[in-house]
Amino acid sequence: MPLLRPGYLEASQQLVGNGRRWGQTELLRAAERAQLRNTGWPMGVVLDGEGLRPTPTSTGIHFRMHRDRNEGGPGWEDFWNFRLDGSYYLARVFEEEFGPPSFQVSGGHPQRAIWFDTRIWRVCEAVMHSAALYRELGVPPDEPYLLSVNHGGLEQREFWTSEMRFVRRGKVSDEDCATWTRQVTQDLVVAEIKSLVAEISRGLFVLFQFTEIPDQTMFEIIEGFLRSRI
Amino acid sequence: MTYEPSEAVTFRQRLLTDPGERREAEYKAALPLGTQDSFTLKLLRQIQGIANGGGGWLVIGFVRGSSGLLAPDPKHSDAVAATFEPTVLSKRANAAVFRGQHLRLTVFHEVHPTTGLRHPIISVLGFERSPFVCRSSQTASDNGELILEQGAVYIRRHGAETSKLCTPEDWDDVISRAVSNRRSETLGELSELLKQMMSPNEAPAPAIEKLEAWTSQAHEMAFR
Repeated sequence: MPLLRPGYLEASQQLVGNGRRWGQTELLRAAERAQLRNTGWPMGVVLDGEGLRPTPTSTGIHFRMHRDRNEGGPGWEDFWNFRLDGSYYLARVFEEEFGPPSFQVSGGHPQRAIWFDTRIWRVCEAVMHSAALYRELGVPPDEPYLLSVNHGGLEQREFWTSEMRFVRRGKVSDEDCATWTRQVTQDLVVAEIKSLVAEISRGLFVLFQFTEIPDQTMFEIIEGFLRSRI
Repeated sequence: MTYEPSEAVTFRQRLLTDPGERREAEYKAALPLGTQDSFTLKLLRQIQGIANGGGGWLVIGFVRGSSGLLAPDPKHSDAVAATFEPTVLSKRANAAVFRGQHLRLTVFHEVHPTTGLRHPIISVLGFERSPFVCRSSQTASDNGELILEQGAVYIRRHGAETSKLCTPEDWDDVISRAVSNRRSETLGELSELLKQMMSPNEAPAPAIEKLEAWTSQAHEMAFR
């Protein structure tokens, strides 16, 4: 059996036609302030403990959160890289890799799952975070930037849920990656967050044998994220 | 208790733990979804009534006890719940309204915290442009009762009663809702226009290639 990759979300962004540069300290401050408080473990997390601070390099700053390999997964869960020209990349390993879902049904649960509700939350967070980063760098809200949101490690993963929801079994992806790229602005992200998240999520879910989530459910979950405060 | 999207799961649980009929919520006994029986035809009528009344919920597997209060139906089972398959229900519900009209239904299967049994909860969204009109007359196979009437517009009234549109108040309710929906539609079109004005142009190809190169380089660093 081929070795399957861990599931992950990655988001990268870059200003279009940019000639500006920022110092490492400016990047660090922006990364700190851009963290969203909708979840207990924000994307692009900036920690201050010994051995946990981001690392400055000649090209920018980067951070990796290690995790014990015995817990499953690839031995890390978060990585981000912020370059002096404002280019930003983050990767987060799926929460699904680190433990079973919080409930079982009579038919058990998938060995290798994708929790669609958690994915919608994370996509929402990644998109909102992209705008927050450039806001904190002082980039004008109507200045365009390219945003890419990709999911990987999908092969042989089964569509599932982190909550008690009715999900039909057997929707497995044969594809390993879902990609999405678009030019946006901070203004557009704020105004159109629901439709952007729905577009990215639908492009991911369709790989699981054409799975579609009703708009009502999709928007309930997005609203849940937007209202959440930790 | 009012429906709040961010608390949808809690709301559905409370439909089970604190049952009570009202205009937006109807409770039905534990009977399987069939085709032509009186239970199924009445369910289809109630779905149309709720949609024409602005939307609401139908909860399966509850009956009134001797005290008059709603409680889980002792006859309810997961086998009954399993008959409420979303695709089948949508197909039957849409076959009962005029062609071109589409009811927006979602079926949730919520577990009752006390009994551990799954109860189908059917979410019915309100009509968008025009009220739903019953397509054909249908008589129940089990008791011969005429339940659906061709051309009828059913509405759910305050007091949890579903019947044909007939009083001035019924008409006022439906017309107000239709006007309000059309107004929202116009606002939606304006919003779409603003969105198009606000959207940046397509990114030039070199910029996309540059982003792809950056993503690939950072990906290598993340996964090495």
